[in-house]
Amino acid sequence: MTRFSSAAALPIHRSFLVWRNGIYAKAALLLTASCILLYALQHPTGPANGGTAVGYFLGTLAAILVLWLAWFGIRRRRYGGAGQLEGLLSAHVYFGIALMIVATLHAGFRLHWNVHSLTLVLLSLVVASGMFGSYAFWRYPQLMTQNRASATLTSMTAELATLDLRCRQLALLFPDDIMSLVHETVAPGTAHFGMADLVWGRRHNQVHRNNLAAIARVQTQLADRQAATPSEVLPLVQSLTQRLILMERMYRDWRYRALMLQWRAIHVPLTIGLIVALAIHVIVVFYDW
Amino acid sequence: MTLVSFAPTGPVAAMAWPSVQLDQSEIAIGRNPASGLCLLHRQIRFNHAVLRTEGAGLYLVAAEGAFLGTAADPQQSARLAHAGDTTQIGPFILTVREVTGDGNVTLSVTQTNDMEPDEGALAQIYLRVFNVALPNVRLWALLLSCGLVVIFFAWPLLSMQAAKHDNGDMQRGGPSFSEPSFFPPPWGAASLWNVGAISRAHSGFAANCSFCHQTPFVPVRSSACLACHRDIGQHADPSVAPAADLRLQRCEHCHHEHKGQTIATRDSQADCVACHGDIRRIAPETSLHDVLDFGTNHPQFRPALVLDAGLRTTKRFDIGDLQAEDHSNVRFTHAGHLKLPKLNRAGRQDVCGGCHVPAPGGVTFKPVQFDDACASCHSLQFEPQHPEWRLPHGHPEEVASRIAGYYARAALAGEVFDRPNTEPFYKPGVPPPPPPPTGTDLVTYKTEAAMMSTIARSTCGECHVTIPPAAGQPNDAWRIAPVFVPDRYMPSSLFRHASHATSTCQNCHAAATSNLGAISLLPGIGTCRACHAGEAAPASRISSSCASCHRFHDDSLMHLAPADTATFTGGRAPPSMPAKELQ
Repeated sequence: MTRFSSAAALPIHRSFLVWRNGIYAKAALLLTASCILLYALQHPTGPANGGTAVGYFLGTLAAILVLWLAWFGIRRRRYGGAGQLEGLLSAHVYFGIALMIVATLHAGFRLHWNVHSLTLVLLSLVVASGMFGSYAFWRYPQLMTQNRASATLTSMTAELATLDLRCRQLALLFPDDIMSLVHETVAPGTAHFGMADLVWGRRHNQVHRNNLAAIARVQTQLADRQAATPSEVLPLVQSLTQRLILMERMYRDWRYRALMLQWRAIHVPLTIGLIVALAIHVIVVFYDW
Repeated sequence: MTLVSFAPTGPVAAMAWPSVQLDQSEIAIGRNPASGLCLLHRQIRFNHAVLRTEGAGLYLVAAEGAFLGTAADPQQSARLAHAGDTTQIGPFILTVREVTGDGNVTLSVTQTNDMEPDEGALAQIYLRVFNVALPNVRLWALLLSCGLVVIFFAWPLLSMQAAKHDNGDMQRGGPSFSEPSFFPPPWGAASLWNVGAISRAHSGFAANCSFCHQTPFVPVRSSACLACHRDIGQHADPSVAPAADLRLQRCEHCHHEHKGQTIATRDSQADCVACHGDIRRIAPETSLHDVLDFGTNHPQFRPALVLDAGLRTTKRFDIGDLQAEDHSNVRFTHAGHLKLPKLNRAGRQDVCGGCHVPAPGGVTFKPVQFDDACASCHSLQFEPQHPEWRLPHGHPEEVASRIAGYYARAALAGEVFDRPNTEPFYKPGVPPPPPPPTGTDLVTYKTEAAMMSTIARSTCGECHVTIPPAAGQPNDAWRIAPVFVPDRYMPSSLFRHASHATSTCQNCHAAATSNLGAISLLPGIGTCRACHAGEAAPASRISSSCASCHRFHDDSLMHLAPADTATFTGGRAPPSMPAKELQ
C-alpha cells in the first residue's frame, strides 16, 4: 500500500537531470570545487602538471571516474543490480562533466602532440558527445511528440505511400514532361538522408528542396501551357503539397530519432578508445618514469 | 467505316474503353484523356501512337520520339490486319481478336506485369528509408583501439628501442649527442610519449629517451644526471649537517625536466627556511645563523676577510665590526686616495674606473694591477740623482741585484754620491766625514742604504707589509709579505656587479670614508634592502628569495661523483672528502 501511494505521489515524468533534487549534480559540483581548490593551493616546481603530488591525485581520480562512468554502459543493459538506473544516469551525466574539469586540472591546462594530450582530447570528445546526448534526451522526445501529433511511424509511411501512388496516378493525366517530373520526384529512391541532413537540419535538406522545386515546376508549366483545367491541376498540386508536408514531418521525426541515437556512435567507440589511450598513457608515464 | 472496339483482359479487365469509329481520321492512343484509347501508365506517352487505315489494313504508327514493341526491339509501326496480329505499346499488348466482314476490328488490350507498386510494398520501402540504425560501434571501437595501440604504443616503443641500439656510446658510459638514424626526428615517434618540451641544455640527446630513462618502470636515477654533471657539489658538509646529505636525495626531487626551455628547479624560500629557519636543529655545530626572509629576518652580512694572506685563509666578520682585521698585507685606504686632488677632481664620475675594470662575466672586477693603477703616481724611484732608475714591481728577489747593478755601473762611470750630510757645518773637534766611497765600497754602501730605505720604509713599505731579515741570519734580506686580495668578499652570494651597473659605486661602497680596509668598504644588508625585499615584496621593491643570491650546490664541497652514487642509498662520505670550513 505504501509502495503504491508513494508511486502515485511521483510525477508522471521527471527528467534524470533532476533526479532526487539533483543530488548528483551537487555532489559533482562539490568534487569539482574541491579539485579546483586543491589545484589552486598547490605550489608545484615549474608549471602545474600531472607529475606533481596533486597531479598524481587528480590523475588517479580521473582514471577511476573514467572506468566507473564507462561501467554505466555495461550496467544499463542489466536489470536489477545496485542503484536505480535513472539515478546512475544522473550521476553518469554530472560526474562526466566533473571528470572533464578534473582531467583538465590533471593536465595542468597543457596540450602537446603526444599520447597524454590525446587521452585528454578523446576524453573531451566523449564528454562533449555525452553532453549532446543529455541534451538530446532532454529536448528531442518532446519535439518528437509535438511533431508526430499522435501519428506513428507506420501510419506515416502508409500515408506517404498512399500519397505517392495518388500523385503518380494523377500525374499520368498530364503531358509527358510533367508526368516525368512528378514520377521522378515522388519515389522512395529520392528520399535518402545523410550526415549533412542530420547535422544541418531541414534548411539544407536536398529532398525538401527537390520536392519544393517539383511543385513549383508543375505549377509554372501548367500555368504556361494553359492546357489543363484547374479541376485537373488542383488535385495533383494538392497531393504533392500534402506529400511535401508529410515528408517534412517524417524527416524531422527521422532527425530527432537519429540524433538521439547517433551520438552514441561517437560516444561509445571513443569511450573504448579513451580507455585504451588511458591505459597507454598510464603505462607510458611509468615506463619512462 | 470501320468500328474499332477494345476488349480489356487480364489486369486491365476492369477498364471500359468505348468503341471508336475510324473514318478518315485516326484514333489517338496515349495518356491524353481525349485519346480514343486512353492508356494510363508511366511508360505511355501523353500522345503515344495513332491507329489509322492504309489501304486494306489497320496500322498502329508511333508518334515522333515514341516507339512500339519492347525497348530491346523498338518499332515505329505495326500492321493489325488479321486476327492474331499483335503489337506492344508500353506495357500493353494489343492483339487483333477478330476482323468482321464489314471491316470492324476488335482489339484485345491486356497489360504485362509491369504494375505500379502497391501501397503496402511502398510503405515498407519508406519504413526502411526512415529507419535509424546505429552503426557497428563495436567494429569502430575495435579499429580505434587497434590504431591507438599501434600508433601511440608500438611505434614509439620500437622507435625508442632503435634509438637505444643506435646510441652505442652511451652504453660505454660517455654521453653521445648523435641522433638515432632508424627513425630520425621529427619522424621518430618517441615524441608521442614526450610529456613536455625538453630543456635547451638537454635537447642534444632529447631523441634518445633511454639516455636518462635507463630502466623501464624505474624513476630516472641520479646517476644518469651525474654521468655528465660530475662536478656538482654537496649542499652542506654531511659531517656538519647529515640530514642535508644530497646522496640521500634524487636529483629529480628538485630538478624537473620536460617543463619547457629551462629545467624547472625547486627554489622556493619555504624549502630553504624549512631547515635554515632553525638550522641548529639539523646541524647543531654549524656557525650559520638562522634566516627566515631576506627582507625581515636575515643576518647581517659577514664578509670573509683575509686571515693569512700566505695561506689564503679567511675569517668572517660582521659588517661594522670594529675589531675586524683584514690581513691582506696591502697598506691602502680608499679614503686616503680619494682625498687627493688629482684623483678627486670635481665632476669626475669615473674616479673608481681609473683603477677598477670589470672582469669578463660582470660578476667581479679584474685584480688591480700595479702597472695599470699605481705606477703613474708610485714611480718606484730610489735614487734622487737618477730619477730614471726604477725598481721592478712584482719581483722582490731581483730588487737587490737591480740596485747593485745600477750603482756598479755608476761606480764604473766614476760618479760620486755624497753621504747623507746631517751636519751642515764642520764642528771643531769632530772628525771630518769620510770622503764619499768609491768602487766596491760605493756599490755595497749605496745598495744597503737603498734596500733599507726603499723596501723597509718608503718605496715598498709605503704599500706593502715588509718583513725584516731574521736576526742572526746574515744571508737573509728584507722581504715583502705575501699579498692576497680576494676578488669576492662574500663568496656565498651570487652578487653580480654588471646587473647593478645602473647604480653608482658610491651608492653601495662608502669609499670616500673607508679607512679600515675592506670591512669599511663593503655594504651591509641595509644597503641591499633599500631595493630588495623578501620573497613577498611590495610592488615598489624587488622580490628576492634565497635563490636570488645564494647557490644551493657548493661545488667546493665533496662532489657527488658517479662512483659515490651508483647505489645512491646514502651512507657516509668517503674519507678523502676535503674538509670545508663553514665559518
